[in-house]
Amino acid sequence: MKKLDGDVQLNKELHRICNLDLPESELLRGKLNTAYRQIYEKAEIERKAGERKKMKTNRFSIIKPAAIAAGLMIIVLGGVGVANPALAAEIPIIGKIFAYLEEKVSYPGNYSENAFTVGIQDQENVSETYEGAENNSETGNDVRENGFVQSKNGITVAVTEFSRDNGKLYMALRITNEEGFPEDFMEKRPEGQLSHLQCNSSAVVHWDGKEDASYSEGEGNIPLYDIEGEFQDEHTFVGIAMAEFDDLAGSTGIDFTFHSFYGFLTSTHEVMGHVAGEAETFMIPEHDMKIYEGSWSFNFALDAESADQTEEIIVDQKNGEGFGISKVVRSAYEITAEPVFPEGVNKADYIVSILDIDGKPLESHGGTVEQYATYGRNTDTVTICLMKFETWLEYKGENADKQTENAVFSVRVDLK
Amino acid sequence: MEDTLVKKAQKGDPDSFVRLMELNKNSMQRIAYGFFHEEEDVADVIQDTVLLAFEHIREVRKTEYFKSWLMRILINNCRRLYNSQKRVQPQELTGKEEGKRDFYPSDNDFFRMLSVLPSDSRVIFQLFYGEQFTTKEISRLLQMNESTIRSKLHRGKDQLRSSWEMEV
Repeated sequence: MKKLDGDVQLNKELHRICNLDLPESELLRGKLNTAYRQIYEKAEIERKAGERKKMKTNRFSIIKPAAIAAGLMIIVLGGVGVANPALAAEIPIIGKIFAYLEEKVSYPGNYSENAFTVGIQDQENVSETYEGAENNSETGNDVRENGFVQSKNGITVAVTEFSRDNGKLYMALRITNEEGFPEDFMEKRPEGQLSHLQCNSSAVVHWDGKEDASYSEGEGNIPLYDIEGEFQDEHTFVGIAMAEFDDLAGSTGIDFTFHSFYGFLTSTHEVMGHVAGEAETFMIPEHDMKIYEGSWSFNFALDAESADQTEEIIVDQKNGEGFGISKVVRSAYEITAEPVFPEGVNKADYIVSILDIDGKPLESHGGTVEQYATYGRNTDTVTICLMKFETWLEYKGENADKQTENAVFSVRVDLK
Repeated sequence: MEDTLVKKAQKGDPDSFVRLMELNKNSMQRIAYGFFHEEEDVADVIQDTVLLAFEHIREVRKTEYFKSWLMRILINNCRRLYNSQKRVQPQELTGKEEGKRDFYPSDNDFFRMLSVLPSDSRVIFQLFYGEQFTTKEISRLLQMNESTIRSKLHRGKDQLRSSWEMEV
């Protein structure tokens, strides 16, 4: 009787066998595809509902806002007032953050060309606005108010430029940290990927003759929770923030407050966790966070009568089955199309895709998937394709030239 | 690569999540066959596991814990289905009925190995030799004593050694 040559050989054989690829049955493939379909649908629904809801998980501690600093009427010109000139002198892109980052963020736009200075005073008058600004250093909070620069607890936030578009406020930010940001914040990122700095924020939008609209964690609609940018060095983060609102058309101003900034560290502590629906628990590590409490408040005075470059084109077309497009809305940075559905149809099963003048599909503008970026693309004429979601998945990427012929409805629209 | 896919999946990228599941599909199949020999049962628990994993992937704090976390979900789903089919839990069995063999969907070395092993050892063998978990990690995943794990590995190896020597 032949014997196996010892435990080593047996272990090798067991290792080989336990790593064999098993044949995949049609049944398993079918079940997996069904699961993947549900996952894609859910991912799209979550995007459409607004990604700000993603913030409401146990990972993020509830941060109570510190007392909001007295509101300042600040006018942003595109110039820079700096609380710490020494730090500013070392930064090569003063006043040019939009130009430096606008192509790199996941919500690209030619913000530098459209940096609104709506309803503002000119440069000469800026210093007069801030005469006699209070210095609360006696209180120990070191609040230095200098127009569009706010400092608190060693963190200085400067808004160097801003722009707005169709319900969004874009802010070019430079955030400096006297003690230096943790090394973990500045982990090496793959080529082309920006860093992120998280924040807790709130805002109030003002109108003439209409009630103010509030945005905050408590109201379930944080306007901004993530800033994309770069750590220039351990003391300095520059980024473009995109704050989202329901509507800014006709608004006279926005009071915007950063309550805190934070990021995750690689160090962890243990917490008890469980899988949903299971009674069993197990200890899982949770990442520590570094939080910088504020707050830093800014007021953006907007000219309610100025045009915000938004065009709305009525299309009002549909096919015999009732699928169609009612209108296309194009602003300075993004374009959307409103679909029409027959009664009884599940709208979540469909998606609107927009192709540029060359028939190439536009990319998402960072918010919901059907808000498309116009940056670097010719959208004077677009093709709007209303598609079944599963079909759209098949005709993304290199098969995108077949979107029109596989849409349930498509229409070419001139926007010039 | 799996680390990157986990991070992207946690940010809601469904493409990355699907790729992650495809990468781990074989592992999940092998573990599930440690509990069941019917294709349909294996396909059901894997489908449930994929859906649950997508729902909760943001709870994975460190990417290196992902595989262990995924296996835990799968094993829990396997147990739930196994119990609902009103069979005794694998770890409670002391051995197979003499002369009885389980019938698996195809005839290869993996299924032949499973057929020889007692049903309470199959998952342990797959986790140890296939997924390279330590006996300590396996004891946490299956909530069994580490000494029990080692003893089942030892006994199972003896049975396999005997079976293979007989086949030669």
